[in-house]
Amino acid sequence: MTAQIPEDREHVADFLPAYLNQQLDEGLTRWVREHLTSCETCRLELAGWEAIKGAANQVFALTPEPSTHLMQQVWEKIDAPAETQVNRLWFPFHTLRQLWLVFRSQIPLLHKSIWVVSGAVCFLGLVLTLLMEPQTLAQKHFAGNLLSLFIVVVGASGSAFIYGSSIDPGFELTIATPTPIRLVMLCRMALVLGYNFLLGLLVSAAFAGVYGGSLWGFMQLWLEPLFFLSSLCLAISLFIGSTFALLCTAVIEALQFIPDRLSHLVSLPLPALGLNPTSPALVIGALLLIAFAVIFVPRQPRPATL
Amino acid sequence: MTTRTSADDAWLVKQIACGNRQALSELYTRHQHSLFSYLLQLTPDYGLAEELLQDTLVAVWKSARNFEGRSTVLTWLIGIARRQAHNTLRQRKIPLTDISELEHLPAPELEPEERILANAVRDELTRAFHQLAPVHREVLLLIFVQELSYQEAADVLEIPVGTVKSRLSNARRALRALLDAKEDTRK
Repeated sequence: MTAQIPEDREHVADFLPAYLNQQLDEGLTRWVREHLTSCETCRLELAGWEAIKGAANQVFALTPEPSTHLMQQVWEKIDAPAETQVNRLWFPFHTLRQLWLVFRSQIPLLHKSIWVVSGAVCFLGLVLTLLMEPQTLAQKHFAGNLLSLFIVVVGASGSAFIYGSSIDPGFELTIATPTPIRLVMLCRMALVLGYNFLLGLLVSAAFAGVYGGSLWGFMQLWLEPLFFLSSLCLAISLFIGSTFALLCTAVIEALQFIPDRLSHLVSLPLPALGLNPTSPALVIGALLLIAFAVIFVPRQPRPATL
Repeated sequence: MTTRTSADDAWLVKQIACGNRQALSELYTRHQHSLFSYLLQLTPDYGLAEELLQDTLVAVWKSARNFEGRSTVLTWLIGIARRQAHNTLRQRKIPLTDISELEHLPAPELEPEERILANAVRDELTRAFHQLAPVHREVLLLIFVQELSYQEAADVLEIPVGTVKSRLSNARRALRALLDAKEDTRK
């Protein structure tokens, strides 16, 4: 264990278990040892940990061994045809219950910043558009488009961080459980997409409430782009990496937004990427991307690891 | 655990990923006692602990190719065993200790004497150890028997390092309280 020696500490209690296990680096070990020579409280604390360690090891030593034929049963389980398990899985109630359990168990495993950052950025977008105080119809359109940009970018960014060894500390354990990894990924995608949909709905309702207009009309601006870009982000994050996926989303949205609205400010001729937000092609594209991610990507090694 | 042993373990996992059955048997022989004693802390049922150990080994066989060496093999194995145990216990509705309750144990008004631990007879301490809540026994076992670092224990338990430290000191406090209660009974 390597850590900086704290200057303002009276005692070394936090370091004693690691000291006892000889896991501290040389500097920390010396510091703890020196402190112990002059501190009765910490010496007593260490003696307590020593006693506990002794008891824990005694419990460990007294643990009975597993039966000798255990490994044989393991081979039987490994060699057993998967048929019976599959048949059980097809039983509708059992399948639904399994799905619900997997779905629920993914909530604490997802990176917490996804929930916090998405909420904060959506709220920021709403505040920004409200501060603009659009008066004319054109200004309201601009503000609406800006808010939908926030919703789409935030939603897509969340999808870039739902799955993969580089962003999930429990990845090795996740893939070691019997739950199919594709199911885990789909549940996570549904969770993040659902959460971002709700956020979008909330800020849209607030926007429509303040400036009038149809909620559904406003939602159409971001609903399909959110679905499409989230799926694209997921596929790219799995195949190349989360940061690259984030970058792609930013570029796509920038190409959508900047040339149209800010062409008079930017002198360079920028290519415009005119995605029609209500085109069915976006939904089809999104479904294809999810299918691609679910079916192919978990089997492929990432290009970076080749 | 020595670096040599860790490297050997990692090599065994690679062999398992290639379908080498002997390697799984070898890995089991090396860690059977650690895994089994860990599982017996989560469930006192010997038969169920054996079943969980079997499931852990099946999971290791199926997922060895995904092991990237981000943790030691022992940490990885314990993590898998823990997940198998929690999934099975939850599915069978076998009650688990409410961890949230234990994390916020109020400090007793009168802390039992610190020296009570240091002076306790080993057998008394061992008996008290058995009376601890499973989450407390678990963290003590991971830190003092498996000798995992705080970070490794945090990875296995899926909690922050700070919570490992607080759970450890809660376990210590609970042990002291148990010993103190026994002392009072004797008086």
